[in-house]
Amino acid sequence: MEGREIFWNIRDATGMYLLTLVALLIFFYGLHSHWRFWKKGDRRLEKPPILAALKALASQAFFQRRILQETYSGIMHLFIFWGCFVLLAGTILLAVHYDLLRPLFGLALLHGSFYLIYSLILDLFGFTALLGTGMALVRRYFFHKKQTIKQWTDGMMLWILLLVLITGFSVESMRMIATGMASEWWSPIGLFLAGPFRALFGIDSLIQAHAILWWGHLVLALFLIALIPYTKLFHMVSALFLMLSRIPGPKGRLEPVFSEPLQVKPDRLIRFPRHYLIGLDACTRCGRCEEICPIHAGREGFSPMKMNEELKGDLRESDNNMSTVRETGTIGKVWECLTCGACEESCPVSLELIGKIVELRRNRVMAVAHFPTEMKPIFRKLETFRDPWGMGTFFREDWIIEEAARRRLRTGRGLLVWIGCQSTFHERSKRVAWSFVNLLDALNVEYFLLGNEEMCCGDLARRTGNEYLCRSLILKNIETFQKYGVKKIVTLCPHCFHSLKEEYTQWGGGFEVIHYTGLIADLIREGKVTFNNHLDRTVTYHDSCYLGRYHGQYDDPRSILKTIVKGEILELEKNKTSSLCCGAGGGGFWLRGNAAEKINGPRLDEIKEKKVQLICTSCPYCLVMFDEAIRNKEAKDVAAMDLIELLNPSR
Amino acid sequence: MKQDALKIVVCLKLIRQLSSDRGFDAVTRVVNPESVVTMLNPGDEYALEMALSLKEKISHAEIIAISLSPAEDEAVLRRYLAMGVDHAIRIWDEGFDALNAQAVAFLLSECIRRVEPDVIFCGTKALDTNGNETGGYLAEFLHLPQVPGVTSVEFSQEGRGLFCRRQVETIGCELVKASWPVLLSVDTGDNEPRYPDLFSTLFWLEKKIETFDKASLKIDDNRLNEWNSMVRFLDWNRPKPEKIFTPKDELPPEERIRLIVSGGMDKRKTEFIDGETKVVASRVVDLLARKKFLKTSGEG
Repeated sequence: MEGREIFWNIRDATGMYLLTLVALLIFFYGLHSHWRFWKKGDRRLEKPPILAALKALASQAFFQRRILQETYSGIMHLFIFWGCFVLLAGTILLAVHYDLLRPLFGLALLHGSFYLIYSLILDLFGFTALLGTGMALVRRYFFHKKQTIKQWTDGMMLWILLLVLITGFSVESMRMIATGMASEWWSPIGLFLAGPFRALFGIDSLIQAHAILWWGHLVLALFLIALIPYTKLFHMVSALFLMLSRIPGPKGRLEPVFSEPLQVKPDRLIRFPRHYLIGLDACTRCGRCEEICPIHAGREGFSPMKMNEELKGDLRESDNNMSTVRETGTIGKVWECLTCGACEESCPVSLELIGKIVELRRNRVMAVAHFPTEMKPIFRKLETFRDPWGMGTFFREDWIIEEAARRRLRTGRGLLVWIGCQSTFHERSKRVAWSFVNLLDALNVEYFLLGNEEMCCGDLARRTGNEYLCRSLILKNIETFQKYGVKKIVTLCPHCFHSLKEEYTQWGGGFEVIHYTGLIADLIREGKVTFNNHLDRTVTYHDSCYLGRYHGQYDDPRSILKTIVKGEILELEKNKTSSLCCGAGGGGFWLRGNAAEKINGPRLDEIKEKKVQLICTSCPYCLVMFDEAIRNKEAKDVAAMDLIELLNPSR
Repeated sequence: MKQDALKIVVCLKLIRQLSSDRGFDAVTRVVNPESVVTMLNPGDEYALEMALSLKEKISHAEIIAISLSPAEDEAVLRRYLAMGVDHAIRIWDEGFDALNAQAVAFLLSECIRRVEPDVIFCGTKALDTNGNETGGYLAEFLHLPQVPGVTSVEFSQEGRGLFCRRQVETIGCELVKASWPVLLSVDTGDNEPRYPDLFSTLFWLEKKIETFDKASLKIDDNRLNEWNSMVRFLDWNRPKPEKIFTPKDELPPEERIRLIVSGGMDKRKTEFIDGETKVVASRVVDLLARKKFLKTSGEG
């Protein structure tokens, strides 16, 4: 008969029930205090789709997609998660068997071959948990990466977990020796430990030691459970809630402020929304965001993780009042963020970090009206002249030098080419617009331009927290689109692309928006256009954050590049999802001196090391930033060009 | 010190600015309405900021903004009122767009007299007319002392007085004590105009602006015309364009651009310096040293 006596060697088990009750009370008290904090935030305006949320939960929690982006810590976490998950499930099954099925229905679930398989699975998963914990301890004490926040409780929890696992296996092994090893091979770890135990203890002392260890195992395991809400282990609960409140879509999702007709809740800009509060509690301080953050890299600059931590403390203290959050420390540096999305890409619990940063900026701009002075003239220019350069709408047609393109102004036929402020006004980026328009003319694509009826798309105002200004720009643009019956828009700038595609929908702008790389890649795929491989240079492609990380368009630009480059196409060390920002996003271009200049230099160094002759981008901001870096460093042997400039049929 | 609130009046002028120097219609040669931008005169914005920061220093003060502007400019005006104004008055009537500074000051004084303010703030001069007159005339009409060119202001200890700092050309700073009622013309100091917060903006979107016209101000048309005719605008000349160097057509484009940029002085080589601030500075020093304008420390 396979099975085991549950409370073998334990004379009175009522203590166990009492201890469990105490542990659960402590656990739920902690959970309740978190819950109270979360309740101070407002509920999300849109309802998250539950099916998509469950799907995300499955891939993130059970398959641990995000965590496995890093190999060592990914496997380590996978082992601990699955090990502990199965052990917990096994223990619950045991409790159900002993306290529910057996006394109520007289059923013996853990019995016979089922028991043997149960025993084997638990042993194996216990071993993976042990392995994972070991890996974690080795990593923590021998090659832990440098990060800004470390807490002693993080290490303590690992030690407790290790002790729980070791005592568990010891108890199993001792029981097996004492009861005559009934089903030995079904508990391989217990069997393995049996040898040394038999050598160390006599049978009487073994039974005594078993009882002590059994209680030790119980107390430690319950201690671990009770501590969950008070340590980083709480992420297993908060990340679960976070996943369920997620709205799928591109990175850098921002919460709407206004409801139309123009209305705003009185404390909308003062209080953090609820899912952001849950996010604060879900951070495990793993430091991956910090490692990849272009502002943090190497300097004691901004760190998303540290911001999260400081924000948690301050918001708890001030009852979720953003206006009283400290302005020093990392929170004071939110203006350095480039909204590149690298942190969100790397975060294992999918925290919405850009949303939080923009929420803070919104509070500073719209509620407190206290923000970097460099932004004031920019907002003023956007207000009066409708572009960040302060040039005025009349200048908007000045870049058009070709008569053919001038004839396309405001015709309203075909696809709308959205130039964007950068390509309209910046001397370098203007050439991108020329090239694109020339190419479209050469390909006989029906298109039109808005000329002086175009305005800033609102991206800059939105990322810098001036939602009101952004709204006024978006409404005017949508009005123009409707006037010309626009259906399809192609943009030159990935920032405009993201804004027009994802953010105009809130105000009823349902247009088909593509970036020019998508358009041309489609044309190449359909065979409507061919380019000869004539560019004999070593070329690399620098991913723009808003095209790459935000919209996952990594392949289109590369496929275009392949058709025109005869020389070598190198991939940079930091490419695709881990691409480094050029330093211009999220208002970085306009808040110079904060961070931008510190970033484009190192990126150029990385490129120079690879002996690249030509840097290709598909973003007018990146182009200008690289151009400046090249001029600053007097790098004669490398040039930066937009992809579209290489495609110019006249070249 | 008066027990009721300190009344501060700020005079605001909305100006129209061309958003580009070529904002003319190519055919009709008339200014294109699209290329005109209405904004608050920057000097008046500084005056408003100074009034607001003065208000912050005491518990009881009321800021009243008065502007001579047509109804269609109200939307622009509201954006600036949102900076923290308590009450706004707009004066407009037919023919008000062709007034000289004296007549404007006369109208403002008629309106301000009803408010009985303690302190009046004006900007020094408007960006469009560059007149620097209205403040002076206004003080004259109201029989008030005027402190021109104020860069910062503070309350004096014993009350009923203001310490004003004014920038005196090249000499330095002057400290003036003025007891109210007084009129201050504000120069751009270090008081940077604030940005209105959202709630104030939304509040001013709704709030009514009190409007006055000739009838409600009980303006005597003859007196207004009298003031308006004392100094009159006669003619307006654009500066004569200088003869611009034009390179020969047969030159290659790069050469032509270089010649245009250097203004035809192709002998004098122009050098374009660009980049990060530090880099630019070091390159300028290099250049000056190379051209023997500077002695490097090595040479003594």
